[in-house]
Amino acid sequence: MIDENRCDVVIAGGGSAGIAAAVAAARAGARTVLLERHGALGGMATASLVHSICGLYLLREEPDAVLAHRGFPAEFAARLMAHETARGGACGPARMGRVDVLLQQPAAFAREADLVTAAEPNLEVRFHTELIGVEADGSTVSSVELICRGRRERLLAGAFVDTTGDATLAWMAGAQCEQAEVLQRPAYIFSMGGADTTALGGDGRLRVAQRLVAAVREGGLPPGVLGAQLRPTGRPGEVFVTLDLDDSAGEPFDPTSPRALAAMERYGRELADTLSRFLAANVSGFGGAFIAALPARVGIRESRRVVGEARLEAEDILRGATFPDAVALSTWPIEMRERATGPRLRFPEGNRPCEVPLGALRARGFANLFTAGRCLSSSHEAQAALRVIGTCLATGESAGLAAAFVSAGTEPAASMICAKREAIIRQ
Amino acid sequence: MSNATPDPKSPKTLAALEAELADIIRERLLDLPAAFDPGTNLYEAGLDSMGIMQLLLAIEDRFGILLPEADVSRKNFCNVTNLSALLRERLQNGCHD
Repeated sequence: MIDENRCDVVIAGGGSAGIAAAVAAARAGARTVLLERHGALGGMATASLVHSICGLYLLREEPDAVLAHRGFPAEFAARLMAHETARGGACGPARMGRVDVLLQQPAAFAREADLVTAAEPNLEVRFHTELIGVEADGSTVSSVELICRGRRERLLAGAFVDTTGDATLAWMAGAQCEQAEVLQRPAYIFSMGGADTTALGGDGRLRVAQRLVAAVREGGLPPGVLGAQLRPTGRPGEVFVTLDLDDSAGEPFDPTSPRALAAMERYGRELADTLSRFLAANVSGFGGAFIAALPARVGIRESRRVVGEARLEAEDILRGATFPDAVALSTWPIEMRERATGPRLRFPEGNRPCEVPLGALRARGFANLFTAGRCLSSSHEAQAALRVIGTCLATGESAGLAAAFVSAGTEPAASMICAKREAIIRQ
Repeated sequence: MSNATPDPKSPKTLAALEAELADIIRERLLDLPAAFDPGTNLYEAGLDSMGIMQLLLAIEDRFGILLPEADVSRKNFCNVTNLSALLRERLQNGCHD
């Protein structure tokens, strides 16, 4: 027994790209269904506790952060900041090295995502839902099959957007996908409470880094903790800890293999436990500290990518490429994380933004299948710039608008998408 | 790795140390900009506390000393010039932590 329902646009995956795509499609008039496998929207920003939003601001030498995007990314960033302000907290851009990021709280992100999606009468959200089938004929997707705790549903639609991050829908539709041999390392982010965060001020964080190195050299800690980054949130006692997971989990890392994922999740928790115990026992300020929250899942930086009508390359990012069918901007450097030894950054010439063409958001050969977020059409290296949340919001919005046009029987041009975005801003 | 440096404890000119550290950073840590010089700000090139851990390990591999906690400051690691001066001091006079 399968329920059967019909809508205009299906968005698969409720991370940053999916939220933006769903809200945009709904505002453009399409009856939209947003599918999410967890019980909260936000993807990396909630389930994996990614607390700094990259790619929202222009790259610039000058100190003040300047938003790079109009439309939904700007709207959602404003929501996150207002959310904290209304609760007596603070949320705003911060300079790190030569980039600006928005430091955010996952709980605020999840709540604001609920509010912004619930406000759209054309948008319905399905939680705890996995894709189990896609019906496609090689150039058109006609329906997806879903499952929620054994209950199946077929959902027919005029257009589809794959914001799964793993190109799940595109892969199941038979669209061309690719996956690098060596992926960017996953991040394991957890939070600690009960710390005296003043101990991390000044050179405190660097001294902790030295303590970890010394302990690893003496055999008191495993080498896996060498990636640890500690970031106080500004709230009493709260510190986010980020580990880039190395290859010690015993299974080659592949984000589409359940065995590899089990190994990574267990390894992340093992390192979190080991590291938090070390900090509590050995580092001043952490005497009463404890793990306050573990991620719902390991933070995936790179997985399968959709092969689109166009494909962004590293060269495009580095020269700040422009395209006649541009629909979004990318403003983050190429941030390679192939090794768990910290990032290798390559900045574009003159800090120029790279335009994202509509062709990179459309699965090759498919009339009604779009993609956005970290699985958009790009090379492995370009993806290292494009994967960040700000760009996911921006590309998601454009893909959602494109899908709304297609579901209404109109072939979308980039100019129409940009005009529609401006019309929505004016409302 | 050590065959490139016959005797890590031998006195080195500051310029030689700077070149060696820049090589280590380039090989193991960062894609340094083309306009890199010893005064280039490493944090702006992407160095973070994770990178500093790797740098401490690399320095220990190459020179045989782990810089002590008291030496690890933003100022000492902000560029190759400062780091080389610190390292030369430690190579000549040892660490008194």
